[in-house]
Amino acid sequence: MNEELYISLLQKQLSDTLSPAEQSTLEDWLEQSADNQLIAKQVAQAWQLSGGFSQDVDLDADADFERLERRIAEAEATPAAKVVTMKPKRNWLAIAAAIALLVAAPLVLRKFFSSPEMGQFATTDSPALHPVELADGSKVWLNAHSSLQFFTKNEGDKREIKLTGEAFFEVAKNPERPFVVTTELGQVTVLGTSFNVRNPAGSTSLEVNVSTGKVKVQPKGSSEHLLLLPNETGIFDQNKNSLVKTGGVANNTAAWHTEKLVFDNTPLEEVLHQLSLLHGVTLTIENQAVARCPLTVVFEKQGLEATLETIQTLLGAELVKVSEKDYRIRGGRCG
Amino acid sequence: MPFEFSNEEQDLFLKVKSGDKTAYRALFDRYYKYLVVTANNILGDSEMARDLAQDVFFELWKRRESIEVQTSLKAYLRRSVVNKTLNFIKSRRMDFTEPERMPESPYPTPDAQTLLEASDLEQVIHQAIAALPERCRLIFTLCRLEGMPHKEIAAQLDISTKTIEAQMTRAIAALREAVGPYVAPALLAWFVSGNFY
Repeated sequence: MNEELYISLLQKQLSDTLSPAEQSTLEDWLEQSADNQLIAKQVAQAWQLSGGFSQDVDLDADADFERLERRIAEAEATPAAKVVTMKPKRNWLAIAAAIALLVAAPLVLRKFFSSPEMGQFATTDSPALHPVELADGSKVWLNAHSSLQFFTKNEGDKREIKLTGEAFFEVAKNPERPFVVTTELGQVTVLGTSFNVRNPAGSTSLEVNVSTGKVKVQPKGSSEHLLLLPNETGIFDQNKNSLVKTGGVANNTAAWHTEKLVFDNTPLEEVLHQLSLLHGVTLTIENQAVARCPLTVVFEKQGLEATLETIQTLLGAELVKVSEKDYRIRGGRCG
Repeated sequence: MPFEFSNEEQDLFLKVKSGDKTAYRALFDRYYKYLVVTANNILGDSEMARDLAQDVFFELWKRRESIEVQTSLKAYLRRSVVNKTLNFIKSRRMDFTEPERMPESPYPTPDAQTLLEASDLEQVIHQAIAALPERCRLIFTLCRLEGMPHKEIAAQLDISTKTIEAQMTRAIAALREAVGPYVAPALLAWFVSGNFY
């Protein structure tokens, strides 16, 4: 009994996606028996009535609006991120040139004025709370002290982004329109993947860490490039003019974004160093005997205090909070 | 004219763009429930549907200056909440190929009383849709209510069009079973002949 096949064909017919070959298969089957025609009738009836499907929901719109307002107030109170939409750049020279060409070449003129508007986003002391969503559906999480210029229209043969600082990218797949991140020191080209790019203003190194997919890194003005796979990191050092690949090992490069830290036999002092960078706090080890204690632990989306409490338990140490930004680990011993 | 913007809707949206909270509230009152219902029809989870609809309104405010609406604002908001719903489904990494248990013959054979209330047939279908297993229902509502092509759903959820076709077939088969007793020739004959004894 192959009723399912015919139900599938009937469904295609109802949604206008039936091919001519399928159409004749279906017609043959309908002619076979009155039962088949009845099935078709039932399917058509079910399909037609299902279009009006809607379920009422109970909700308290006032309470939900209040919740929304609180969220907006919180977001607006965060001074970290500021969105600015930049007007397209129209320098006077370009306009003068365009005017000069006004009579002769209207096509050139159009080209001058239709330069796509670029959006701009920048952070100051802390990472952006929410990702920037780009016109193609890609997302960018910007770390502290970073800025981004991005396309706001989903057109052109490339998706171009300019970055100063550090950002984590989740790129919507589109093999036809490569996603190109340009930084001071070089270009990163991808088709659809997620990865972290770090090239702070004025720095002499560009660091790219790949989470998923495949990424190409090319230093500025160089024909040399690297292809990176997941968990691989590519580092370009401008001073040494070297481009090297490290990796195969999970690391915490993108922890500022993923809020996931992985430690595998990592000395306590290194663990605390990474935590202090991530949370912008000072962490001090009072008992130097525990500084080299190896820790193997994963922290995921835990707040700083919960994380420190775990460490305190692992070491049998005492956690002293001097202030919001200053913690001390007192006593304890390895394992 | 390509715009379907009603004047009132456009006025409100322009005010929101310039930072008017009263106009924002007016748009919320107009469309919030509509968005919750839209997401809930797909997800069958009204709490999550409320969160997603609020996300849409949150972003409408946050990005009010840069949002350009091509068609109607209502259509834009609906599309936004559907996209959010799709992202949410994707983030849950559901296995759409894994078999799900269909409800066990949940549709009672109607008696004469229910047959007389013919408008109930729509009710019957709607209950049957609500009773579909989660993944089956997701695919079905995206196809049927949002009119999304299989290819697009496949791309958004990272699944194959074959899987979508299979889920659609399962959904339609279940719905057919639900209407079966109401659209059967024997019963129709009985009903039409007025043979009530």
